[in-house]
Parts: sequence; C-alpha cells; structure tokens
Amino acid sequence: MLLRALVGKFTRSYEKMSIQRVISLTFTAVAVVGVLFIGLSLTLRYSTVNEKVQAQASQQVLNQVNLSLDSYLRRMMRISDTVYYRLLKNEDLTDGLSEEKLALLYEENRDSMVSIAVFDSRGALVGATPLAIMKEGVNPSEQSWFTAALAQIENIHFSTPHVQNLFQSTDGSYHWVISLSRQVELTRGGASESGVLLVDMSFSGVEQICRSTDLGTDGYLYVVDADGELIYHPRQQLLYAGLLQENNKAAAQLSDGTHWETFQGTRRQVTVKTVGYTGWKLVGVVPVQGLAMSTAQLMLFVVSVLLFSIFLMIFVNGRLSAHITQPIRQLEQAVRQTGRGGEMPQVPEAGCYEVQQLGHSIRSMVSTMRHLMNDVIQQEEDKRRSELEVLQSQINPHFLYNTLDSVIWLTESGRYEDSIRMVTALGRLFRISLSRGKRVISLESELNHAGYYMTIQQIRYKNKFAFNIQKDTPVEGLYCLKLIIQPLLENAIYHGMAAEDDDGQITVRVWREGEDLYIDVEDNGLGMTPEVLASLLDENRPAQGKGSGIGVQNVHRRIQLTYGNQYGLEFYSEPDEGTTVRIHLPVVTSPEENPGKEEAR
Amino acid sequence: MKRTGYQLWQMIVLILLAAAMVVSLAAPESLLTPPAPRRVEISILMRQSGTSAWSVVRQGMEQAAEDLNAELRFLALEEENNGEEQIQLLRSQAQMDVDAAVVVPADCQGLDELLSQWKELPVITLESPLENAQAFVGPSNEEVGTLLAGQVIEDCSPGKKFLLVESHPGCQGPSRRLESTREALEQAGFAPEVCSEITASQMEQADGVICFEPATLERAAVLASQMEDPPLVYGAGVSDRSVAQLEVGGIKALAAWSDYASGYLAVTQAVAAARDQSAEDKILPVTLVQEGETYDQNHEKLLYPVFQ
Repeated sequence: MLLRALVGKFTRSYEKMSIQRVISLTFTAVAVVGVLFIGLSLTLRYSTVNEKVQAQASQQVLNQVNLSLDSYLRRMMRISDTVYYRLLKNEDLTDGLSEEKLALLYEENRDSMVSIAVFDSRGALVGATPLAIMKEGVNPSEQSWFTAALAQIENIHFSTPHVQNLFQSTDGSYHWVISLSRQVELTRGGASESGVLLVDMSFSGVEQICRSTDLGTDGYLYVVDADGELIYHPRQQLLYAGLLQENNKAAAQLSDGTHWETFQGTRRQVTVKTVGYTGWKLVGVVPVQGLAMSTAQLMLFVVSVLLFSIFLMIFVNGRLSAHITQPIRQLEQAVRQTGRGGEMPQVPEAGCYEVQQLGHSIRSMVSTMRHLMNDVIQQEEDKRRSELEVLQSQINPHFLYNTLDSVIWLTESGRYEDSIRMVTALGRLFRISLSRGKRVISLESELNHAGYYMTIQQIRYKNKFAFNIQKDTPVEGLYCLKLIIQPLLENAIYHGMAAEDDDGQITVRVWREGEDLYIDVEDNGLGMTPEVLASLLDENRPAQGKGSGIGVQNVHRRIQLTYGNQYGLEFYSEPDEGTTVRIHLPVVTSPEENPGKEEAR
Repeated sequence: MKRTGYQLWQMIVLILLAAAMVVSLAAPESLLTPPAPRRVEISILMRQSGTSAWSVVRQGMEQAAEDLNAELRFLALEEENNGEEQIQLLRSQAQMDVDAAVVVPADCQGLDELLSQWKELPVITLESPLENAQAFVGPSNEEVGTLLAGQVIEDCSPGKKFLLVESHPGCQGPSRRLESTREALEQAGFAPEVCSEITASQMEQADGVICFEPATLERAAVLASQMEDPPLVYGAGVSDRSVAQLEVGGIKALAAWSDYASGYLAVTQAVAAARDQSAEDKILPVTLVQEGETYDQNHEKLLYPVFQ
C-alpha cells in the first residue's frame, strides 16, 4: 500500500517535471550510484592494499628479526660445537675438563651467555664456567633441558626462559636464561660415556634482538615456542603478573604468513614466522587501528570525495541537461506561443540531430499552417471584397428611376440639351461602373465617374450646389479602386446639400504625399456632431434618413481589404461648417499593383 | 539574477567540498583521532626506600606511567617511616600541581585523619587500606595472615612458641596481617607472642618467627642463618634476599604477591583518579611459596622479575 502510494506520488511528480530536471536527476542518480560503487570499491581495494602493505612490512620486520635471532642461536650452537668438538670430543676427562679453555670461550661470548657447563649422564658436574659451585640439592638430571638432551641425542634443544638455578651466585643475583643443551660423548679413562653440554644463553640477548623492532605505533612482536609458551614478549612482566593476556597458544598453531584474529575485542593482523631449527615462532601483531591510515581519516576522505563527486555530478548534469534541453524548451515555447495565436514565432532548428529534425518538422508544419491560414484569410477577404464590390456596383434603382424621370421631364419641357447631357452622363457613368469587370481603374476614370455622377445630380437638383474637381497632383498614370468617390458624393448631396439653398459647394481634391494618395470630398453642408462622426464606420449603426451609410462603410472596408488597415476613410466635420471625407490610398501606378496589402502581409 | 545567484552558490559549495577533500587527505592523522589523554603528574610517597621489593614496584609503576601518559615523582622520606614528614610531603605536593599521589602509609591513622578532611589530592594507598583514601592496591592483608597461620599450623604443633613481629605498628597493612595470623593461631591452640623488634636472643628462645613485611623478614632470615638451631621463619612480601633465603631454607614459607602488579595497578588507579574517573580497590592474589619451591614454573615468574 505504501509502495503503491510512493509509486503514485513519484509518477505524479515525474509527470510535472521538466525534461531538463528528468535528465538531470536521472544522470545524477546513475552517476551517484556509479560514484558510490567506485568509491566503495576503491575503499575496499585501498584497505586490502593497505593490509597487504602492512603484512609485507611485518613480514620484512619478522624476516630481519628472524635473521638476527637465527644468527644469535647459530652463534650459540657454534659455541656448543666448539666446546664439544674442540674440548670434549678428543679429550680424556679423567683429570677433569680444561676449564681454562672453557673460560676463554666464555669470555669471548660473555655478552650473550651466562654459563657453560658439562654434566655426565648422572647429572654430575664435569666442568663449568664462570660459576663452578653448584647449589645444594640441585639435581640437573631431573631438569627438562637435561632429559630432553638425552632423549633426543641427535638434536640441540632450546628451553623456554627460566631462572638459572644450578650454580651459587656470589652476589645473590639471579639470571633469566634460555638453555641450549645437547648430548655429548665424554671420554674418561679411555671409556666413552654420555653427557650433556649446557649453554645458558642470556635472556637479555634475545630480548635485545626482539625489542628493536618497529611494527607501527601499536604493533609489537613476541616469540613463542612450538607449544605456545612465551619466549619473549615486550610486556612479559605484565603477562607474568596476570595483568595482561596474550593469544600465544593460538598463535603457536598458526602457519607462517599473515592471519587475522580478534582477541579481547580487538581485530589484529598477525604475521607468523618460524625460526629455523628451534621451532620457535615470531609473531608480529598489528591492531587494525595501527594500520597506515586510520579508519577515521580514510572514511573522512572517502566521504569528502563522494560528496564532492556527487555535487559535481549534480552541478555538471544540471549544466549539461540545460544545454541539451534548451532547443527542446525553445521549441516547446514556440509551439505554445503558436497555440496561443498571435504572431507566428520563429521556430528554432538547433541542438542535436533529432531535435533539429523535430524543429525542422514543426517549422515546416507551422509554415504550411501559416500559408493555409493566409489562404483562408485571403479567400475570406476576397469573398468579402467581392460581396462589397457587387453591392457597390449595383445601381441604386431610385437613382436610376429619378434620373430617367428627370430626363422625361426635361424632354417634355423642351430642354433637350440638358436631357442629352444627362443621358450622356448616365451612359458614361455606367460604362465606367462596369469597366470590363476591373476592380482597379485609373484615377482619371474614377474622377470622371464622379464628374458624370455630379453632372446628373446637378441637373436633378437644379444646380443647388456647385461641384468642382481640384487636382493638386497630376493624376495620369495613377490607379485606384473604382467607385470609391461616388458613394461619398452621394452622402454629401443627401446629408450635406439637401437642405441647402443655391450656395452649396462640393469639392473633390486630389493630392499626393510621397507614396500616399489623398482624395478629399468636401462639402459646406450641415456638418455632423462628433457622436455621429464617430459612428460613421460602425457597422451596427442604425439607419438614419436617406441612405444608411452602408456606402461609406463599403468604401472603407473595400480599401482596407485591398490595401490594408492603414488605409481607408477619415472624417473631419463641424456642425454648420461642412464635412470633409478623406480617402487615404497608396500611390498605385499599375492596375495589377497592390503595395499596401503587400506591406500589410 | 536569481539563476546567477543560484549558480554562484553551487560554485561556492563545490569549492568548499573540494577544499574539504584536499584537507581530509592532507590533514595529519592527529587532527582526526581523539587527542591523547592529558598528561598527569603522580607523586609516589614511600615509607621506606632502597629495598629490592620497592625496585620491582617501581618498575611496575614506570610501565603504567608509560602506558597511561603519566609522569612520576618518587619521593623518599628523610627518616624512614616518619608519618608526620610523609603527611607534610603530601600536603606540599598538592601545591605543586600534582594530580594524584600513591602512598605507602607510614602513619595510617594520621594519614587517614588528614584525608577525611583534606580533599585536594586523590590518594591511592599501597600496603595499607585507608578508609578515606580513593583506593587501595595490594593483597588482602587478612588473607596473607590466614595463609601464613595455616602453614604454621600445618608445620608445627600448638605447643611451639611463635613470635609475631610488629615492627611498624603505625602501618595498618602489616598489623592486619599480624592480627589475622594471631587469631588463626590462637584458634588452633597456639599462644603466639607479639614483639616490636626481632633480636637474636628472642629468636633463640622461639620455635618460629613470623614477619609481616619484607624488611623485617630479611633481618629475621639473616639472624636465623647465623644460628646453629634457627627457628622456623615465615613471612610476607618478596625481596631478593628473602627469596634467596626461601630457596636455601632460611625461610620456611613466604606469602608472595606480585609487587610489579601492585605498582602498575597503583599508578593506573591514581591516573584514573587524576582524570576524574573512578578509582577502585585492586586486591592482588596471594601465593604461599614454601622452601624449595622457588623454581616452580609459576613461582619463578612471581619471585624473579624478568627485567631487572
């Protein structure tokens, strides 16, 4: 249940994450696992190598001690050989042993030995140096060194350390010794008998050899015999006093090499080396804390490295994922902006191959959509323009009826000239209106169309107003939409001149400013209030009086649909002063050209 | 701006971690391991000096001082067994920034009275346990007395005359040994006599002499060795001479304990007290060694210290 909840929570978090965060977290997680794995592996490897190095160091120390100890023991053995082969073997001891020679040998080696003594097979003293008086009650034949020598006559025997208790001391002192004993052949009166040669080595000699070892701060070396009895230990007295324990019995069972043991709660590296001939074992002990680098220091270093590596991974992965996902994020922003509408954004084509391809595809798709949308808009505009133009090109039946009625009236009243002029103007008006179906005609024709229309209206309204066309700019070679002036003139007559007496004035003025063409239709009629002026282009404006203003709106929409929204009609009016309607057009010098719309697109 | 600040923090953390890594590698181990315990100064106040037993105690003390990072000051009295001088010396040590003292009391009562109201220095006693001392290190004095009495009872019949030598009445340890021996002997039908000093004439009239500390035992053994028909000599405490006499039969039996261990443990407890840790009594095992047994494997280690 808890697992499912955690999975659900993770899934929800994952779905809300950005791709950069997902990449960054994934890379970091993988890298952290890798770093941890490598870190732990290296730590274990380091520990192993460290242990091996320490083991080798211990082994070297033990080898050195072994060499020294072996040399020392061999020296003692050579002494025993010398005594045996030079003094005992070929001498008849009937008159006693030559103690002078024995003393000489002792003097040469007194730094490392306590005494040399020869006993017969019953334990009686044959000769000794330097202490020649045996203690009362001492029976050498009961002592272990004596029995061992006679039990295995071919061997040289070494005892464990003990206090020498054979000879009387002149100063009451005592000596800890290690006894070397061997069976010897004694000749007395020509007869041969067994005896025992005893060389008591000074324990301090062994101690000096073993003491001068270096096994690190807490390491030490001790020596045991084959049974695990202590020969030497740096804290021997503490062991003898029972204040300390040593794992010497177990160490005696170990083979040569490096071993691990846990003794009294302490894990220790134990290196063992057997001393040749004696069967003694040198035991080097190094507690784990004494190894080259302490556990605390190693762990601190490992933790520091891991923390640094993990944070470095987070840092680098953050940068890398940001770099990798930047094109995707830009793409996503562009697509989102496209979805919101408005201006089409520039879709980037950057990043790695797949992202580039994706960007390219989206760019193509957006471009196609853009063209399709433009086509749809264009079609809509064309359709709307066509509707407007059809509407515009339709002849107001009232205008036609009134004109024809005026012609009849003029004919009946004998005003044939006016009748002819009116019919002629009407005919030319229609011809320009048709213009073979063209939408764009020359400005000249449009002005003529306005003139013919005004000619008809002046006759109808009995010259209640004057009309003139003022060309401030040469109009030759200029083109414009057809039928854009006439609806404005119609409005000026119906709304400006209808109530006027005979002083009405309507002026059409044409001028050019740079690439803009302006056509003003001015009247001095009633003018308009600002409210009416503001509502002229409002398509929802209710109809008022003659005309509904649809013609004006029609002209404005046609101009904007053809040339763009920056063009169209502008109105200037003051009540009782008159009205100016300004047509703003681009300068067009060809019937096919449409500069304003090109710019707008 | 916010993003730049975030990146700056990241860089700072990164640099700090890198520095930590370098420091952890380069820092000396001493910075990472717990510091060694404070070095303490311990004064050792003996009541006697120059005995061979004392030299073994001293070896044990020096080994403990080396192990526990302590410095020892061995102080001898101008007049042996002068309790007042010992107390004055102890008082002076407190003013010399000494952290603890190990004392072999010369005047147990006087020292105990002092320690009951004077707490400036933790005191560990050897030989004699004091009620107001921090701890005592040594054998059970009652056990020593009982062992010696047991051996006498085994060797002799109740009609024999035994002298119990109380050479230092101010020393509680030997006195307790004596009392235990007397009680046990009296219970066994003996009528031991107590004397304060041993003389040749006294020994000539006695069948046996029991001494309760090494110096007196040595003297008794020497006197016995000069007599044609010496009394049986029993005693407590190990010294070179007493061991030599034990070997040759000058001493019949000896109650022995490890002087090396007593020295070691006394300093161990003194260091603990100096470091405000609890110090506790350490009672050493006692072994009774009879004449001719000195070279037995276990007795040998007890009677003959390895390193002299």
